[in-house]
Amino acid sequence: MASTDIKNRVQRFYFKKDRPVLFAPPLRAIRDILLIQGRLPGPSQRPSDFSHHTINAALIVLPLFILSRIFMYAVLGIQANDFSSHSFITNLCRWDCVWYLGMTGGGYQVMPNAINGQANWAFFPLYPLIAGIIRSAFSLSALTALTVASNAAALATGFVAAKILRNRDALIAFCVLLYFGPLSFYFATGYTESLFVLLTLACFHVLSKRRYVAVGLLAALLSATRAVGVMMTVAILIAALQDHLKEGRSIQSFPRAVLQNPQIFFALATAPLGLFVYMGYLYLHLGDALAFSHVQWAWFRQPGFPLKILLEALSTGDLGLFLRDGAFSARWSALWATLALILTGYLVILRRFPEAVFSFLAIIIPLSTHIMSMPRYAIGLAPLLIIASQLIASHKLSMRISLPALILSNIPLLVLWQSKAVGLA
Amino acid sequence: MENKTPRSIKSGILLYAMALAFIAFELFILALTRYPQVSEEYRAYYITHTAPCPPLRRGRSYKLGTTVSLTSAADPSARNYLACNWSKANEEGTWTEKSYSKIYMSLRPPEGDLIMKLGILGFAGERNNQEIEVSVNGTVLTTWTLPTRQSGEAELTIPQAVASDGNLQVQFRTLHPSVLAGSGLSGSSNQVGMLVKWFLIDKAAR
Repeated sequence: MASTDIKNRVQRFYFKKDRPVLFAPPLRAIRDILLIQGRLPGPSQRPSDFSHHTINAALIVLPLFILSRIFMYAVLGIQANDFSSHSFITNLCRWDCVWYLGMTGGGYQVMPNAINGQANWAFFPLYPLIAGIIRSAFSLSALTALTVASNAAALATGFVAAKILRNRDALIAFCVLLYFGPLSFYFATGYTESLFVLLTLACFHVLSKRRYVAVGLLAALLSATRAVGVMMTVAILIAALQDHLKEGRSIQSFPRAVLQNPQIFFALATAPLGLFVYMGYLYLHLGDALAFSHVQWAWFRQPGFPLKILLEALSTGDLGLFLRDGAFSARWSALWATLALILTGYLVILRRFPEAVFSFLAIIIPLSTHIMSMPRYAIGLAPLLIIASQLIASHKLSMRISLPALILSNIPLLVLWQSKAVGLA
Repeated sequence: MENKTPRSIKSGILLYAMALAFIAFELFILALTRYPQVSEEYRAYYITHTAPCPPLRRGRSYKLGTTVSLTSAADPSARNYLACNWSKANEEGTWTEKSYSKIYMSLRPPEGDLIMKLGILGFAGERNNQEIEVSVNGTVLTTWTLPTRQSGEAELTIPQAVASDGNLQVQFRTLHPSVLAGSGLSGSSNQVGMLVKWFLIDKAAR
């Protein structure tokens, strides 16, 4: 590419619409240097030239998805010395999957577990509801229905990602991360992560087109999937604020502008609806609309300062991580949380503020109560999966090194997952 | 200024109406969060965190004279008699964990006093004795002093008055919870008080 073209491209991309200058010059310089190299993804609202080729996307997504499941099946089959499909899905269903299994079969508990006070009120309803519908419609077992729901969502996520990502390599990297990568078994078994990633991606895709009514409806589903899904409301607000400032209007006039725009107003009112409907249900069921939050006490989650929790986790325990028999590894969780925060910071550098703020809140909120489960929360953040895949795809060399490494790294994790290693929970 | 067609005005009004309805619903639910309609036990455990044990439903029915084993080889449904802080069952029995543990059940309203017997092993770390305060349905009945690491049998007389309706909640309060690590004993990574191997409730001899 000629240098004049590159300069024009930078000029067009960053300065055409008189964006407010929010960044210190050094950060902007780093960003522009990377952009001149043609290796950095722009904001999510950039048009995708790859997305129009659904068949091309299918030729990447489908084979990788199918291969990944064969791969998982082979690894778990060899490990368990049992290649039956029942063994495969049973060996994948660990920890919280068992809670979803109970919910898909029996709904929400009236009384908690007598010994530890835990109850399934902590788990949001959309995913088990979908699995329950699949179960009834196709007369499947609860576990099969959960597995089908997760895998269908994971497959659909690949197609939504194809609409967002700009090139073939990035889509391949995304699919490898999602289907083969470390902890990818969360997207293959009875966990809410697949649906959460799918809905998050769909929200940001639609938000990038500023289709606020659609994003409000999708965000309502997201907030019925996991509690932090409600933070999409903040992402919508930030996207609207970005547009408002781009038009040269003052921040003081923003509240009025929101009220005057029925689409944005609708999106902001609708996005948290999933959470509030669940709260209403909990009130009718138990008499406590905040039961989903109160029951966290039984998992030792109580409010704290996230940075303190993160630093303590990084500095305590050993680096044996999840390999220690029966011991929960705080440091393993903390490393994932740190990686997620670094990638979130990178989103900020790229000025992808809606995605950055959503990711930040989705990490910080659970981190403010406990370090537990952070690997799952980190891997289940769609904007981070997107940026990681774009980074991997930015160099041929990193593609060649990262993708096999990602696939290989999942093998021991998968084996440990099957053996119910506590640190992976 | 943007031209608005009648259709866009209509859809705008519809969106406002729906958004306002949603906001009203969300505010209503938010208001409900201030007034939970829950039992005292629920409130104390989940909301104010003043109770050590979760709320319990009516206990599993128990026939007087039945010995319930709490070892890993026993019927797993025996755990349905346990509430609040117990370890997993091991070959020897099940440890009480942290400060409070309960055994609960429902039985036919007794016509006289009852006697509860337990096969136990006390553990108090470096101390010589573990002390367990035992209460039934909220009434403190006794405090056992258990020599550490010694197996034995403990007995508790339950007056008819505290178990008149047939619901029993026997609470063990461990006064010196201790960790097993380094003791040569195993079965829990939490602080423990005593290992319960079995228990039995029967009519007290008159």
